[in-house]
Amino acid sequence: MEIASRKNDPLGHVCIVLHAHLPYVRHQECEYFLEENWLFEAITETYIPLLAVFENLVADRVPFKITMSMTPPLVSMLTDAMLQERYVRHIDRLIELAEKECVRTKNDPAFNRTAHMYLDKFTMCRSVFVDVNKCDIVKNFRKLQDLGVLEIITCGATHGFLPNMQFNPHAVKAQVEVAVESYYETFGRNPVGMWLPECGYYNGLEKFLEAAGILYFFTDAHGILFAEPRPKYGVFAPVYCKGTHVAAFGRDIESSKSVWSSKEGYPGDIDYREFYRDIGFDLDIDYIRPYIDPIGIRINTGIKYYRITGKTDHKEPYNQQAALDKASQHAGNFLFNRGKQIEYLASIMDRKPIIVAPYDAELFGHWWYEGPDWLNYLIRKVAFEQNVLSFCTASDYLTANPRNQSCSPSFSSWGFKGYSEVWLEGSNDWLYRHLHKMEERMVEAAQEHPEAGDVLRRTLNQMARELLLAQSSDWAFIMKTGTMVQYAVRRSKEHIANFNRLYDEVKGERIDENFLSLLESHNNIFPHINYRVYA
Amino acid sequence: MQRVKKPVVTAVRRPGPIPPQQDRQFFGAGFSIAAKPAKGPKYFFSTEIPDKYNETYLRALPRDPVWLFAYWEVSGETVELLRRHVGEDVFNKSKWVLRVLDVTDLVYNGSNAWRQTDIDLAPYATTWYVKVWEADRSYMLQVGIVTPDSRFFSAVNSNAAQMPRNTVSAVLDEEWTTASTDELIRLSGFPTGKMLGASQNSSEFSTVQAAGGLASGSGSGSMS
Repeated sequence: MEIASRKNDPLGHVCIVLHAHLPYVRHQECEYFLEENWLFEAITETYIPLLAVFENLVADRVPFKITMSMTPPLVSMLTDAMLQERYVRHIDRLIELAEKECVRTKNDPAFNRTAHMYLDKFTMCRSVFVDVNKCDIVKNFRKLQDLGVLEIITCGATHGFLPNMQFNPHAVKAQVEVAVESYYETFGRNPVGMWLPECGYYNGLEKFLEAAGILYFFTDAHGILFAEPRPKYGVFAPVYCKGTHVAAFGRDIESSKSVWSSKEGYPGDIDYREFYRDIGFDLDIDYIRPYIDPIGIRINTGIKYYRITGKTDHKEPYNQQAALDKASQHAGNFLFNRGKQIEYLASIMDRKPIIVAPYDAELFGHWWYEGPDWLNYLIRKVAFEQNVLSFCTASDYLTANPRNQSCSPSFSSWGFKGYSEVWLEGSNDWLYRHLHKMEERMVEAAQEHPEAGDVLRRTLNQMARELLLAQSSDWAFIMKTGTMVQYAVRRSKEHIANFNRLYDEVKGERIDENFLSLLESHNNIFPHINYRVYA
Repeated sequence: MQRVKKPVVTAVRRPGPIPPQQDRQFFGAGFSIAAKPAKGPKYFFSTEIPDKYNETYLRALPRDPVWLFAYWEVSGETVELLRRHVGEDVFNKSKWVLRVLDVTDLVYNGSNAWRQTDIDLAPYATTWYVKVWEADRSYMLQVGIVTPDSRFFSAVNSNAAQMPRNTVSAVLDEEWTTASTDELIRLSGFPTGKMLGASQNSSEFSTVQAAGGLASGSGSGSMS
């Protein structure tokens, strides 16, 4: 498909990265499990709206290039038949609720308009999910990559925070290789880039990336700025990690703040939808009961009628048109600022600068409801209203600029305080004694059994799964931020206990096949994993 | 509509999959009495994990430029060895310490650390956050006893932990290198054979003919 480019010779480039990730949550033991809603909310509010934006851009022949990381746990959930079925059930219930809301608000035009907005959007979601994509939206993202408008990169196998694994090279190698294998199975090609979980980088990690064929990754700004020797272009060009051609790209702080900042960022604007006024909490319990947790715990439904309005408890009704106008204005503002930034940088650099702007994908649509619209306006404005900058991916930049400075980036992350503290503090430091012991035991078992027969092989593979799932940085993150702590603690302990039991059975040469089968069906990520990745 | 009190939101970035709100005290109950269990038996996986492993180990994990996290265990056997080595009486009068050593750019031989300090350990302590002197240096830890006559006996040594920088590097000499043709071809979005696994070699370009030769990027609004 030919997409005409209107860019002749931009002064510089913007690389937008959307990092899409959710921890692996799949509970076949219950028909309804609260935490699975994370996935269903993200599909409804982020992934499908983003798909819709991209597809409309393609249909309108608007040139663009966006990078998306899709983590293996997220991809595994999106391609899981049970979760797909549960999503259809979820969206059907939402549509039913939206229909009721249209009736309930029929005498109140401001609210009624918004109720109809939700009904239309939920209906569109269902149609995209079921009719267009036959319940597999990953294929749609793959198609966009094959078309050339999206570059999909991978991430650590279970989003493990790699700096905390640095003392067991096998553990790091496995997070990288299992991810690459999983990516190949899904997307039919090798990933060229990797989103390091939480941008967690430490010196030496590049060797594992290189061995797996990964040619670039991203770090927070100080990962590059504190590199040795000092990077000539700051974060506005990549550096190759010393001794390799694995490139590190640093996050630009200015473009981050304008979107992420809770004080100065766009998402806090008074016209945007207020996240915390959901009808799951606001409406009468008897009315809303069928649409929240079956035991009666109020949860977000996704239907919210108010806008942020200001720093006040009194909220005004949401006005979609005003919100969209604001999104368009903010897109223009972002473009203007990036343009000025690039003009200035281009005047002092002897090559074209690249501005790397990574965000969690779930910010767009879920937290910031108008996010996908903002992105849509931005892409169109870049294409038709200016010629100072163009979009590019890290691959594009490296292809055009194959000669780069060699540096050692600094250990860093994009978490609060810039290093490991979020995942290594009072609430979660107890994990590491166990995780490191599991890693050691996994390597020992893998090396001791180079050619395991059927049941033993299945057991060793399941041990690898339990270890990988225990390593998800999400659990430590949740413990630190204090949201669903009991769930995170339970998941961590279950995986540790499952692993230890399997390990003891292997050592004792008595494997309980019933327990093994149970684990295989419950914790079934990476069906084709080979425990030898730890040998 | 009834109004629910709005919670204070403190999260700045990475809000996570659901908002920081609503204490999930009900969670345990919620799971065990989930409204509609699937057909067949429910199974609850055990969450029993050991407090300790009855082995001797000490790990130093760098957390940020000047803090590292230490965790350890000294097994009964190791304690016994120490006790016999120094004698029961001396052992009982000794105190347990966490020794911090600056071992930047050297192989530690027991006495050549750039600097060192001892931190008195609370009884039964198994973790500690250590603040080191300076960033961008390498440190090692030991857990051991200090006898009344100030002799130190190590029960266990840690790994060397390299701390990150918290400033821009003072090294300005530049080195430059260029990506290879193979790497550029892969970066151009050109599909290749499987990178990992025994089956294929990474330099096989199995779809050259199908793709109609090399494309220089995708041309959709990217590099000129």
